[in-house]
Amino acid sequence: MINDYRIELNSKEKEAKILSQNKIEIDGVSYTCELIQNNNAHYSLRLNNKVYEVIKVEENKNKIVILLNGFYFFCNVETVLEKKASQIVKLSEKAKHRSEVHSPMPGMVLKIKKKPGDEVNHGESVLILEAMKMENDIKSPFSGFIKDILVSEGNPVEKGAILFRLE
Amino acid sequence: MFKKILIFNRGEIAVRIAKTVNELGITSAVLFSDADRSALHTRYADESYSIGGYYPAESYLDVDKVISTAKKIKADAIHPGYGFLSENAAFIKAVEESGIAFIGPSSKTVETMGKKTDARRLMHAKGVPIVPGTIDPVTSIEDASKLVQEIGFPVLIKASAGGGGKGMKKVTRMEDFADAFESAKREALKAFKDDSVFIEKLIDDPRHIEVQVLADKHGNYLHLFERECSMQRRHQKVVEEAPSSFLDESTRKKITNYALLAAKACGYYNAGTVEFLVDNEKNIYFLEMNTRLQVEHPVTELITGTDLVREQIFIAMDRKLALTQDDIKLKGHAVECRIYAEDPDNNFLPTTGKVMLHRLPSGPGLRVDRGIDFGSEVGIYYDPLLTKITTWGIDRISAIERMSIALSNYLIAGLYTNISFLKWIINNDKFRKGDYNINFIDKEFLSLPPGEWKKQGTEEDELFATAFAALHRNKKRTETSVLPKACSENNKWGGNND
Repeated sequence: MINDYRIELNSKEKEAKILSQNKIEIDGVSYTCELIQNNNAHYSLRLNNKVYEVIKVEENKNKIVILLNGFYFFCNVETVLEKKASQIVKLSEKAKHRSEVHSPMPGMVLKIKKKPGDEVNHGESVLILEAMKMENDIKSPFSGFIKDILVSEGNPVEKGAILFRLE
Repeated sequence: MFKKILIFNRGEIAVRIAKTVNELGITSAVLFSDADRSALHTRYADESYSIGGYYPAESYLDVDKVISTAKKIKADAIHPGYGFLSENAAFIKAVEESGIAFIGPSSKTVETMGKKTDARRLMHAKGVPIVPGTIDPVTSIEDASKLVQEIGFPVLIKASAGGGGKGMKKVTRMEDFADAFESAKREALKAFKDDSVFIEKLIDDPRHIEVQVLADKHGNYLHLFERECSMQRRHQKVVEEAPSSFLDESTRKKITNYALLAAKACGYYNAGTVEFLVDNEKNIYFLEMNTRLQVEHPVTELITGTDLVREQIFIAMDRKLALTQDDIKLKGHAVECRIYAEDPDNNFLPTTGKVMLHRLPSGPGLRVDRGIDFGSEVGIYYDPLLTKITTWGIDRISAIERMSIALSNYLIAGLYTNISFLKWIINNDKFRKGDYNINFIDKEFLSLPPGEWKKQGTEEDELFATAFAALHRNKKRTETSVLPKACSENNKWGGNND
């Protein structure tokens, strides 16, 4: 079905079917709906007799972050077909990405405590990243060996950059 | 009366100070860095002047620039706000020597209280209880190791010149001590240009309770009760309230007396805050004195009906306090939440973005102090505090309920904030019972399975989120596809809206 969506909502799975312009079915229950866009970020959403204000905080392809009633919802919206396709891709990428540790923030590498080949335990500090004048321990997400370290002491790193790889 | 006050700060505190300055009929002036050309504080002040630079060191930390600008624009006084140079004794001394009034205590007082070891020594001598530990700063690892063996673990290593959690390390065993000691020294050196540290015994699960004091230059001192500031992440406060529900009347009397004793001991004038740790047996320990206006001052203003900035200005004009201790009555309860651009799932590290939409909550018993507006760039240069929401209620639970609704009504797009995290705190049972200490977030929040706290929305919230996500995506798809639209949305508005 082309208007049949699978939504990952803060890691919960939801189903939504758009039945017509003003009818939507969510997890098997149907509602009359009306979505009014007030500007680029602000929407009013009516379901039956209740209206919510919804803020579109950030948007990137299928991913959307919304703020509603004081709660952020991180949503990944896919049609049933897209979902099947992305599941296949995910499985093949999983093994590759698991072992990379990314920088959680822009900062400066202050000290590297390990070298390639070293054994590290889950939670053990591998390097110190300085940001906002605070020193932050970057810890190993699991036990294993350091495959390689892609940064060097005294150099800045961007958010999301790969710091080191484990195996 | 001052004619012009230079507010040497940015963000919400510069805006807040400008409001009182303007109310008093005094001209308000601010400085702005290159990153702050269109920042909110430049719009609220009567005058604004460029000091250039993006990084604080090139702008809001440049002593010579601020003093020369203050002279050039003929400012009578400088208000430092909090952070930046507000507690820098050398800066205050330079202001004093320039003949411009400083809205705060004397440089001498700031110097004494700023060196945590000097402050501890003074308090100890004047009968204000301090946390057990070293009185003198330590620099060598050999001395430090010897000392901790006497004190016993766990201990806290702190920067002598410190504050804000920088240069602070908790150590539970000897094996980790040397690493932590060196790290604390490095952080301290970078943050305060002084690598001396001291060591305190770690008090188990203490509350962080502080007392607001006011003193004039004529020897009159008064307190404005306490603030409960135990809700902290990364050693920095996120939710504060006043009064503290943990204190009974006799402990309140004791802690406010200690605060006055501390203020008198260092010859304090202007507004200041004496911070204490209070343990489970209600023992009180002096922690430090903040010789400036605090971020969380609105909770005190709401329960006492005062304007602390107004008092600060009058004190700096050498006036006597118009208030007496008997005038200060505690009424109701206030709670403050700090809205930060930060990610609770990423160790509370800052987020950045451009504010694309901003609507503040409003209503009875609600105060907002904001530093941002529609279009503001929230970048990496400054503290990520965006807005403070403070609610007042006739009792604690009313203030809390108001806060929960206020947080729901705060709308902001373009960057991710800690609003949901604040809601999680405000709706937490232990918080609601007042049963929390400085380890609350570490114990109750960081121990949760990843993503668990995000499941706090009601089923209805999830329903609307799901519907929105699907409808929004569907709209995008139909707009970009060649499929005929089942029914054009524009028809509702007569069809010629596009």
